[in-house]
Amino acid sequence: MISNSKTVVLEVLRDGPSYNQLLSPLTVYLAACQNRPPESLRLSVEHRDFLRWQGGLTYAAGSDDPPQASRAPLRRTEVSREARANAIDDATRAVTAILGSIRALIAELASDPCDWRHIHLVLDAAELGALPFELAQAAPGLMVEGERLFLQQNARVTLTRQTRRVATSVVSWPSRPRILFVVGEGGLPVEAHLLALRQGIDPWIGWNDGDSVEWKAWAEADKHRAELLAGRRREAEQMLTVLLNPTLDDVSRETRRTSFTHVHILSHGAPLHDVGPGQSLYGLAFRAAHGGIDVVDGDRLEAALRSGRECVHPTVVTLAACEGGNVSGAILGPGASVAHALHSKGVPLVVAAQFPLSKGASAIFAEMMYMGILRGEDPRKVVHAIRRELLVSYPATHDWASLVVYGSFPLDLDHQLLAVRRSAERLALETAAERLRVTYRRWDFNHNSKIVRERPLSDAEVKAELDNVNARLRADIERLDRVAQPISAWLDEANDVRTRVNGHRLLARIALRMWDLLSLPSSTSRGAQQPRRESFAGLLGRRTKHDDSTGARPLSMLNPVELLRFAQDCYTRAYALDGSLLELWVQVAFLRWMISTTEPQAGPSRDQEDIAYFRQLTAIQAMAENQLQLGERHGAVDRDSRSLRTAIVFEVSLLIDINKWQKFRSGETKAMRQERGARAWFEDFVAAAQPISTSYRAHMMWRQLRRYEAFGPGQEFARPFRARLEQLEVRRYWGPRP
Amino acid sequence: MIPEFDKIFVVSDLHLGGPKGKQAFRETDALVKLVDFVRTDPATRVALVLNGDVVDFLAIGPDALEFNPAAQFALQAIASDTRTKPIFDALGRLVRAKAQRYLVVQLGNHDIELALPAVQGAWAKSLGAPAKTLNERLLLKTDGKGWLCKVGPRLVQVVHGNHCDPWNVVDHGGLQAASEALARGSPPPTPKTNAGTTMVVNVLNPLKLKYPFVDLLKPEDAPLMAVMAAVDMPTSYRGLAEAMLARLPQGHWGELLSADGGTAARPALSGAEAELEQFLAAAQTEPAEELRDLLDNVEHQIEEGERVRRLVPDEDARLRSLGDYTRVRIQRLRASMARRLVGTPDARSLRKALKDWLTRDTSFNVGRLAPIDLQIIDAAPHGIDLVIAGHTHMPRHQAGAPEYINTGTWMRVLKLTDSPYLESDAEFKKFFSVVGREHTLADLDRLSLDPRTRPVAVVDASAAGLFSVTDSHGDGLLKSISPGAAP
Repeated sequence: MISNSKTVVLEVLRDGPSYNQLLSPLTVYLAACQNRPPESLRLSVEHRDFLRWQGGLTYAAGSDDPPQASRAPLRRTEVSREARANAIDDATRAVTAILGSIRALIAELASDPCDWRHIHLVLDAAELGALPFELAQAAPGLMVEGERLFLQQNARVTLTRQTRRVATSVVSWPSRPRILFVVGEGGLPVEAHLLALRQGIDPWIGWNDGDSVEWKAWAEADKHRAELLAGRRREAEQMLTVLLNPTLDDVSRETRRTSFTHVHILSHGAPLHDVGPGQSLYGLAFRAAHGGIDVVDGDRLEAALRSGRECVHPTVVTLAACEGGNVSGAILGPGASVAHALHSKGVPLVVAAQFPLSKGASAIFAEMMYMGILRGEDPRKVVHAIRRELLVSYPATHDWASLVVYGSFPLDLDHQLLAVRRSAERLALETAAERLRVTYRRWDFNHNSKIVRERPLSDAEVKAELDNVNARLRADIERLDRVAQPISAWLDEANDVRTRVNGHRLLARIALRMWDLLSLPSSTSRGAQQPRRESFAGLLGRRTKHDDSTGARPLSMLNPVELLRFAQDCYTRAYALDGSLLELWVQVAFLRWMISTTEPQAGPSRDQEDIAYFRQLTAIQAMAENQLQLGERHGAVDRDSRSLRTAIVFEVSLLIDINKWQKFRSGETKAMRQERGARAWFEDFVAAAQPISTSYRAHMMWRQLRRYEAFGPGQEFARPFRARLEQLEVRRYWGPRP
Repeated sequence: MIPEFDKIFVVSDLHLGGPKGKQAFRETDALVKLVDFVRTDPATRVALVLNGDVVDFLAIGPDALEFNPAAQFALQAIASDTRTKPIFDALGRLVRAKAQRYLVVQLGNHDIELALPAVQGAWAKSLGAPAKTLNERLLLKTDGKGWLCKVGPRLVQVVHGNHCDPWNVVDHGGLQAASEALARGSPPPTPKTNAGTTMVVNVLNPLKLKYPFVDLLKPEDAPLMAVMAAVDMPTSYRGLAEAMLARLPQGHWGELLSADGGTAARPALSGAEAELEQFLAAAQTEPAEELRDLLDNVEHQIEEGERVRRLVPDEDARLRSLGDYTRVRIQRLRASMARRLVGTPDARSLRKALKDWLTRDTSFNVGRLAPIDLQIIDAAPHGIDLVIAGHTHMPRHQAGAPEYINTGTWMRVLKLTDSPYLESDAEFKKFFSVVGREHTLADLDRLSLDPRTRPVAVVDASAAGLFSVTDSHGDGLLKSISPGAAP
């Protein structure tokens, strides 16, 4: 659902170049807000006041040197608490007065209620850019008067900044993140930030937890774990590249090689040397090529981050560095903070700190930022949440006000983010199912592996191992439920039919995979017949029957028959939305048969239903055949569609054969005689799905045939086909979907 | 009233005691000569001050306790051991001498049990002097506040110095309570222990059985840790982690990412922690390897459910329970150590790292005060002219107000700085072939790394100086080692 939000663009202008002007009540600015008439604006702040509070805000107050000159690292304990509190008060009063004096802005903020208001502040004057507007309180006239405007929750407001010089371009928000993590020179909380980024991408890691590792014995548990983690590391490296203490050249080389969507830089801020008189600009400390430190300004960094021949920018750059966003030293001459420079050169979103940021706060920033934006959340809302979290976690600092967002967003940001969210959720759900499958195999193996133990195990060893796997199984199940829940929630409300069809289809597929897990023998279980699991809930002895908040039952709570019903329900809905997708209907028919076989019901109405079902089957067969022939006649069928269509016709034929045998063993009726048997269609499918060993359709067919084999009559009918596929070396494991 | 003397002699950190063949002290003859020299000194009123860690109750072997309420038996054993008995005899002669000769014994951090009445009784008994003499001539100073005296015009404070070392702060209140309880005949409460003692008892003692070098190698901290890591990784690593754990709470919280790129000194870690940090940074592995370790490590952290906020120091303030806090600390240290000291360092890179490190080493520079020396000076009461301390095992002398002397130690020292063993791989192999596997003190002695300094501070009305006790007799016994002294 698109959120109810409103963007308020506020532009403040004055005569002359952007620099070389001190803050003064004598200067007249022009404030233009939305399409309301522009108003003139005078500040009540003198530059002297600004410099005084700047000392407190940068934790430099209390030292003997003047605040602008002294940038030596100070510990918070050394800073007079009072000086800092006074600085915050003074700065707050000043910025509140400025925003409060713009009548058009107040009118916009007080207009129709909505969930979020995004103030987009377009500033060109460097002295205005240096003001910490993030500290502002709600001005008189607003409902939340007196509260911190960008922290309060009652009428949520966010603030982004932009300079007028930004080249507005078409931004397409990345749905497949490719992150570059650059760690600069000096002692830095690398581990915490790396963990934060890795956690950010964790929902999509675990695809290839894979079948390559077979467990031969309990003794190999450690080896398995090591291989599993190494595999995940390799997967993570596909999404996250880390450069430890690189030179700027190394960064440039890396961005030329790969096009990154997100760049996170953890580095110390350092004063730039060659700046104009009276200026104090900060860059980022990188390792210099021949030893020493290379202080990199925004322009050089921006050039290094452009990738490929087309010089594409990353969409998001986050700077975890002190004062990466502080422009207070750039007032007197040309130049800008790193964040400002990156943004004005075209990076759509730059998030940085305008004051020194504590290490803890920087880690929380990285954690929440990437957790949010990679899932497709609105970055402005994410920063709002981070501010609130920092206020809670670090009450003795003003880290919450330190974050500054430079952004130029596309008009259809909400729609783009929605697409990112859908895609992220889909992949996360598939990954969760895959991880669960692998863990379950291990669980299953441990419960059935008595005969392959290489040595007798003590009770304690057995218990420890089972506890271990149980814990992982529990974690994986929770992960699956967690990612499946939001999809169920938005499915029926999505505006776009395609999205809804795909969502239902995805849930159905996941439900079938879980049914596979619970009901099909795995290759590692040595027993002929594996005991049927009621459900994962039963497996783990969980008591909860449903989610108290929504009333919905999570996937993991469903027993095998319920899973089939759930899948059937999903496919039915999807088919109702798009009747052209016959494969959905075939799944519905297949599931109906599966359920009826699992839970046979007697009664007169049953026969009527069966007859209707048969008619449907034959109708769909005719439709599928028709589609296939039509397509071929017009030469519009590629190999993949042909394999899909033959697969549909084959499966319907198979279902008809099975049902005929079940219902009318005594003899076949003429109306139901098939002109072409399942076997012939299967051969057509095999011909279309060449080469079998690399065909995804063949793999899917193999999986489906295993499902047929789970019950009596299906076994006889489906087994020869599966055997044939295995003979043709069909792939039995498929990681990421093509 | 502050006692006045014409001359005082101060020695410290003798560390007497230990199982046979494992005693770090081997200077009995020289010490006896010194005590006799004090006894026969021509000055009228003379004191010999044994300034802490005189005996070492933590070195009695693997059974040593962090606090031993029955330490009198250990003291008796030391006083009757053939290797150390001559010293107690000489001290006995000193206090029994007819001239005004005084013996002052201070508490250190390895002999805190000297505060207990029974142990003091055993000490007095070991000197073999009549009670009346002892009352007049022997002063056992056990309150940890140091001992003040006047020598000529100068006011002198003699203090062991462990009060300025966060690893080794002694709980004098707890010790007093234990002492009173024992005097009453009730079970004594155990004084609070400290990281240094825990490290000695739990880590060094078991290690010392096989690898006595760990107690003797100087400089301590980073190079010692590195060699330990190369020799017996699991134990040293565990011990290091535990000891650092106790130290870290004194570290820095909420340190800001510095605004000057870390080019200026960081709001510093202190002492061992800082040195270790620097050493490990200097001896860092190749970036690619480090990156691989980092990435592997993060997979483990994810698997174990590690939280980002636990990996940054600020978060610790929010961890309410000590147990939680400790667990996180250990986990974090393990992670960082495992990453950095991955595998066993090969001898070549170890030698190179040690050599690089030690080119900057000033541990053996008598004129160069260490941070802990400066803290001892800072902690001295106003008006003191001369501070004499021990504890650091590194002799120091610096003029100034107040003047400062540290009397180092008399136990064995393996001086790695400027050692020829670091000059080539072949030489280092000789060194490592001894310390790298089980060895004895005799093996270490054959390495000839011990400078055998035997420092003593001598203060009289005119001057104060730091001397080394030589093997000569008479006037040649003391040789000045103060900076700028004539050779």
